Order: sequence, then structure tokens, then C-alpha cells
Amino acid sequence: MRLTEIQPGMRLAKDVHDPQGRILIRAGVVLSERQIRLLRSWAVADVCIARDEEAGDLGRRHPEISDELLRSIDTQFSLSNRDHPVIQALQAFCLSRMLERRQG
Amino acid sequence: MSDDRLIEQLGELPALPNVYLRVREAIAAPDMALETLANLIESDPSLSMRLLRVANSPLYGLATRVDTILHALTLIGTTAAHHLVLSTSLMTVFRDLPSGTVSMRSFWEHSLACAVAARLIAHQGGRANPEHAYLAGLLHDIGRLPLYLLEPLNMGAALRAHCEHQGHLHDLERQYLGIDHTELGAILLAHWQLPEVFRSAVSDHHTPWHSLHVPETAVVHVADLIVNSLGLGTSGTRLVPVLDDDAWKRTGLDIEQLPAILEAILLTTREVISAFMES
Repeated sequence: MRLTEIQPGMRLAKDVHDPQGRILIRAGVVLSERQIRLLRSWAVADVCIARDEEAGDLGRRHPEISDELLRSIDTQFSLSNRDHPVIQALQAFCLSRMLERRQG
Repeated sequence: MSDDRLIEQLGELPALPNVYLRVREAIAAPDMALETLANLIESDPSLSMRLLRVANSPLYGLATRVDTILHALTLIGTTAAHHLVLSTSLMTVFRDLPSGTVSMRSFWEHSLACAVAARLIAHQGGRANPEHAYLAGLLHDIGRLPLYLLEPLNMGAALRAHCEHQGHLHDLERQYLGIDHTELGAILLAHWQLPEVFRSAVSDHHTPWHSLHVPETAVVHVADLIVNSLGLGTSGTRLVPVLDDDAWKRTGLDIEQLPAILEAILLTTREVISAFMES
């Protein structure tokens, strides 16, 4: 996505690097106004924005889960590498544990 | 804000209690008698009580109940006893954190949970020494305490930025303070003259590829991530870190074992926290 279209609150899908290849901002970070200004100062033109499908997918698979619960798990794992099977297993375990707690 | 100044201020932090230093000396002596060590520990009633509680917790899974320090020492061994005395001593050294950061109770709950998780992972994976993994897990975030105590304002700002999802807390520590808890933790451990295996696990638990020769580092990296996922206490981190795939492989665990390990961590942590924390 063009940097000119980026709004605060959008989540990065991929790491952003400076011209030397050092990581400026990591994937998963929810961009603040300050970070968007930082990207402009580094003359970054395009960044990859997450479409937040993870929460949507979980919601489709577990219609019994409230949006609030989904959002809290989604936030908790937002900076982790959610494509890793171990992270996916952990996220599923935490979700079922939260559900059990809610249902007493 | 200079990180050198922070390192200089570490000298102002409390020293480890005398009883721990004497226990360490007694264990290192070639002709150490268990009775001498037992008498030394019994000279501190609250330490004795906690040691017996932890020895009787599911952490050691002993078949019989132990009710004397000498009996506990013969069953759990001097290494485990040494680590228990150190953990209890550390909890008395650091009593309070400035309000508005994280609570000391929550910090130790996270540390104990990580110790329990690291011990279980080492045991199940068969690559690391479970007792070393336990202490490395307990100490992994110890460098956060001086940050909270000596730099409460900057650390508070880093925590707020973390809660606003601006990045991982250890990256934000570097940004706001010029140093992070892994580096400070390693300096503290050197100051307390703890062995290299623990220093590596503390300094590299977020960068396990720097300590490929120390299996306990990979174990603590994974234990910390699991405990953060399960939300067992917190040392400030609210968001799950990134899992290093190579570190996961080096624990020797199989993904199929994960649910049973997670259940065991939850159960054992509850018992160990109450053994340590209830007065």
C-alpha cells in the first residue's frame, strides 16, 4: 500500500527496512502517527498492510466466540509469527482455555 | 540518558542475602556434610518453610511427604536446594517496584512460571539440564527489575508504547533507555558470580541464535513465549514474542507434546506460586 494512503491504527504485514537493510519497524506493529512520520522521513514509499484475516478466520471457525474475546487473543498474538504451527497451536490452546473460563 | 550510568547504578542495588552466600559456599566445599547445609538453611525459618513447601509441590513429584530440611536435601539434591535458596533470596532482595509499572508479585509469577515451564520442557525434550533450565527460567527477566527501579519514567514510557502495540518491549527498552533487560540481567548475574550457563540464557533468551552451544537458552526462549501466551503473571510484556524456529527445534520437543506440556505448566505453576508466594 502507498505510504500516502496509510492511516494510524493499520497493522504491518511485513518488516519495513531502511536502505541498509536494518529493520525499522517489525511486522505486526500497529502503526502510530509518529511511526508513519518516521517512515516518511526514511522516504519509504510502500508498506505491506495486514488485512487482519486471522481474527476473521477464527471467528468463522468459532461462531460461538465473542468479538471481544477474538480481539483480545488477536492483539496478544499480533506481534508474533502467526504462520508458525507452534504459535497457531498456542493461540488455539489459549482460545479454548478462555472459552472454558467464560463458560465456567 | 546514558546506559553506562545505569550500569554504574547497579552497584547501588541490594546484595544477595548472607544466608544464600553461605549456602553457596557450603555447597562448593569439597567436604560438605548435608547436615551442615541443613542447619544453615534452618537458621532462616521463612527460607526453610518455603523450601519444604516447594519440595512437596508437584515440581519434584516426590512419592512421600518431606518434613525436615535434611530429608528434602537428600531427595531433591543439593543443586535443586541451591537454586531454591537463590530464588527465595532474590524475592526478598527485590521487594517493591515503583507504582504504575508492573507489580512485584506479577513479575515473580511470570518468572516462576517460566522456571516451571523451562524445567518441564528440558525434561520432556531431553536436550537441556532440567535444574539449570529451572534457574535460567527464573532469572531470565531479572534485568527488568533495575530498569523499573532506576529508570521508572523511561521504563513507564516504553511500557506504554508496548501497550499501544508499537513494538516488542525489549526493542522499546533499547529505544527509550539505550539498553535492554537482557544485557542488564547478564551484568547482574556476573556481579553475583553466577555460572556462564545462566548468563547465556539471560542475555540471549530473545536472540537464541547467539547461544547455540547452550541448550538451556533455547529452552528458556520457548518457555518465556509459552508463559507469555498463557498470561501467567507478567514482567511487563503483554504481547507474545516471535518464536525462533531453530530454538524450538533445539528443545527436542514435538508439537504433538505441546497440549500436555501446557496443561502440566498450568497445574505445576499454580502450586509452585502458592508455595513461594503465600507467607
